[in-house]
Amino acid sequence: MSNKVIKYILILALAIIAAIVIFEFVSNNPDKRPSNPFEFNVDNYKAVDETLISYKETRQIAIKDGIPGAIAFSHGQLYLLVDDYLQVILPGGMEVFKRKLSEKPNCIAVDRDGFIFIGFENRIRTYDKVGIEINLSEVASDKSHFTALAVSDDLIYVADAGEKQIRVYDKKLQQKHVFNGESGVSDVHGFILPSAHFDLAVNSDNELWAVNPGLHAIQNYSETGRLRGFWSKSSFENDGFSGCCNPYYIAFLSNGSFVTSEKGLVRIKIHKESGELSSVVAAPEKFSNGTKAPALAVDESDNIIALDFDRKMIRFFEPK
Amino acid sequence: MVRLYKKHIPLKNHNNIFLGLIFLLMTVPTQIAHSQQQRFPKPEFQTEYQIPETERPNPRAPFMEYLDLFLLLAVLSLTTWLVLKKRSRKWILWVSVFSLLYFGFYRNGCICSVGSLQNLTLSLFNEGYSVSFTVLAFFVVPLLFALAVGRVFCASACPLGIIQDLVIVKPIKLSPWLQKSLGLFPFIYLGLAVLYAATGTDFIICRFDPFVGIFRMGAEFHMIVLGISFLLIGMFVARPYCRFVCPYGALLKICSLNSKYHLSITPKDCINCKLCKDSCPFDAIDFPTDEKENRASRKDFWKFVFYAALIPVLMFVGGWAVSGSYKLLSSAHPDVYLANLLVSQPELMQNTENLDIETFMSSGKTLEILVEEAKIIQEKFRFGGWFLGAFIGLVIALHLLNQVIFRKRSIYEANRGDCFSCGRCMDYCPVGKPEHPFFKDKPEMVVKS
Amino acid sequence: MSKLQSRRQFISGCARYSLGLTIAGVIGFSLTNASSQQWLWQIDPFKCTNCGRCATHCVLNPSAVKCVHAYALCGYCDLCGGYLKPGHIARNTAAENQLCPTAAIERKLIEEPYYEYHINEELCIGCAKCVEGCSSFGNGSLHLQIRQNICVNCNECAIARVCPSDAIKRIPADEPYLIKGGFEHGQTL
Ligand code: SF4
Ligand code: SF4
Ligand code: SF4
Ligand code: SF4
Ligand code: SF4
Repeated sequence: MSNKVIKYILILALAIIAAIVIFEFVSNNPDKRPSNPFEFNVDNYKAVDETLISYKETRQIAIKDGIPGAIAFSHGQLYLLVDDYLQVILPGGMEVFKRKLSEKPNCIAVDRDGFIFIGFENRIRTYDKVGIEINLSEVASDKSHFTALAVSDDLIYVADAGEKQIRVYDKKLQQKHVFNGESGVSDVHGFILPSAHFDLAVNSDNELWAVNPGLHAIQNYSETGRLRGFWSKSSFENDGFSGCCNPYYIAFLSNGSFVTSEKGLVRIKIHKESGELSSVVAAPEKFSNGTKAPALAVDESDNIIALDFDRKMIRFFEPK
Repeated sequence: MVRLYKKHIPLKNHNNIFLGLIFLLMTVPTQIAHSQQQRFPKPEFQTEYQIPETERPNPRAPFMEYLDLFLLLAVLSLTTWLVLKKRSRKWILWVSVFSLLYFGFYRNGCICSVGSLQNLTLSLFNEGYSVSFTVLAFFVVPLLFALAVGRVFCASACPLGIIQDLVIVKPIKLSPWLQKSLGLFPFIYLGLAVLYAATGTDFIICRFDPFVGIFRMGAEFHMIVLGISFLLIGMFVARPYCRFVCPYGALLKICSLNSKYHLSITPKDCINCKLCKDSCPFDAIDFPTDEKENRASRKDFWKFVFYAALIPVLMFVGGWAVSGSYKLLSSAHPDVYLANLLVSQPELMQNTENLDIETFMSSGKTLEILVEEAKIIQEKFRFGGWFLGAFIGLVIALHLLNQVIFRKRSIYEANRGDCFSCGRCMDYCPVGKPEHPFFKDKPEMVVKS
Repeated sequence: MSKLQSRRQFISGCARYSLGLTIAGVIGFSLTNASSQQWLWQIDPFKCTNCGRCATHCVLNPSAVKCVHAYALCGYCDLCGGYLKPGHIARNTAAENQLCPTAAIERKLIEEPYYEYHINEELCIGCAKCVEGCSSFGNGSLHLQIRQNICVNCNECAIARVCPSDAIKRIPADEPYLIKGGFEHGQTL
């Protein structure tokens, strides 16, 4: 090989090296890197047909300090649990009062007479209208983990995710019943809780409905734990529930329809009593790509109040 | 970016049982809180099913790293003996092949002494980053050997060097001027690598390591091409990476220049036979100076003074220039880059296509904090830039000064800085080999070793 | 020995000793921050945002990063968000229903209605698709870890350099994993 050829080879190789070094240096800058080829994509399910949407978001209240935990609406007031505080505010945002609680609360419900029931890890406490503690239940069990509370005219229902049971208390906080949802009918299993979350609600007819998230089902029980009815629907589409812990929260409209919120594909929907989809309140695009489902409350004119944990705000949705 | 890990701060005083107890007491509540955090209703299996443990396959046993170190020491000691006593190129070659296979292909080229200089730098500048003793040893041992006997590490332990050594086909001679000027780059690269490591930005030596992809038999395509290009050049310009790039080589060079016992081409006294003249593929053999040069050199005295006076000037100018370009240098840091990007193009914040921007936006960190952090990093670059620039200025000034320093030499000898102790030239020297054809008609010249 | 030579030797001797001292100084100084601990790279699963770069940026192919299953956190759901594709047609093991691009997740019925999900690490490429599915629809029991028996422990992990959420850090070699359920978010072991 002549020296000339060698020289060309050298120059060529040098040019290649320079080009690669520059390429490597530049291509690795944050705005030049490739996007995710393995993206987990649920965008197809994010957009919802406008005609299906029956509500619009009207306003928000930001929660400035603390981590919000639960929300309830009653007597024209919003009851909030933020860190270990009970906070009562008017829908306009004005604070009525704020009380420090003795331990970290999980869930809250307010009855017809304005008494406040707050569920802690494994017991309930009762507070009067201005937030003074007046009663305290026994510790349910070491394994207990209360995640939801609902009150009917004379009973308190507690969802115990730790024991996978529903506990029924009277207003004096005496435990009356406890049941695990097993029905005897072979295809309807007891409560299957894939995660440490379990929700229930009571409708205006004093009926108890509980979520059985492992089955994507919403089930109606008598106070003694007899299964009276249920519906379920697994689907990524709007008409059902997806993932393994949905619906995450439920609430009732005055006509007995279910309001549901879901995690994963975060959305709020309304289902008829039969379970059929009635309309969508908030499509997934309304929420950040978070994983948390918003907690729900419904006011007396069927406005839906959602507690958005990702954005730390209370969001109001009104019928269109 | 270099990730840091907060070190455990061990309780140094073993006698202090009280401290230990307090420590224990303090950890108990956190453990309880922690188990509550993890509490979760397990499915109640009717069958005998046991929830399996998550598998945790073990890393390579830690003592293996001491084996690596032991092998490094063994290879270096053996090479020292081969270079100084046995004087055998063939054996050096075999030792180097072993090192290439072990440190290169079997150990995948990590950790290597060349890269370890960055770990050391980062640990010196950053409390939160600590190096292991083995990494420290990998950095120090070859330097100590170089100080004693020259660059035996390059001869037979460094996989990067050896792979180049094995592909030499037809080395061409570079002009001394070109060779010396290109030889400045390793120092600049060294300075840059130290700056980038000290600021926790990047390990550029590892990132642009041309051969590691070959050792691992797989890397991004362009990195493989980089390695092949270097080897291609290496066929004609022997060991191009070692001579004109390798930053660790720069350190070895300084040490080796002052080595106590260095390889000598001839076993006894050079007889100026010129046989070894072209034997070194790396142009590392210095020739005897002739009388004319010798006399001319006296006139260079004022030049010497001039260049000596240039040292502080170049150092200052260098420091000023490099420190002034801190913006450019620091943009290699991803945080600085991102901050600059978002400040100059705020509309990108809405860009959900870009992973990095999207991740930043949803991390809950505000742009202000990012900009603040970026400023701190930039400050480090501005400050470090003075040192880097002064260092580069010093290197260039010394290089110029060297041009006018004249060293009288009457024999052929290996340049201690440039010589890799590969041993090739020793085979050419006829001294001590009376049967060598060189002595056929000059028997009186035979020198017994 | 000529005068010139001995002067040269003297200078070089001085230089040698000062270099030796410098090196000794560096050793001494770095010993204050050195440890007998060896270090490895690992992913903090609470920081990871499942960006997919673990599959594409490891120097090894396939990546040393694999999905691991913290069984203790799993709900053993029939409708696993990590196993089934969004919009799957049926809840079974048919390939078109699987989320994993390499079908690396094995589903096994334990008893109605509980299923165990196991990762076949031979097939897994560490793409985090299932991790994203599991953490948004499930409990986040699937997560990524660098498999230390595969990882070559690069001096600087090539993924750490590009990880958008700074999730890859050095950890001491005697506790080589950060498996979910064993430590809490933000806790440094
Ligand atoms: S110069 Fe650098 S790359 Fe070359 S052999 Fe020496 S240490 Fe290795
Ligand atoms: S040992 Fe001889 S041939 Fe090898 S690098 Fe040194 S001078 Fe050159
Ligand atoms: S690169 Fe970082 S964020 Fe992306 S998948 Fe790997 S660890 Fe997670
Ligand atoms: S989806 Fe990706 S990370 Fe999960 S098992 Fe399959 S290859 Fe592994
Ligand atoms: S250290 Fe290297 S081999 Fe290990 S995960 Fe990172 S890039 Fe892959």
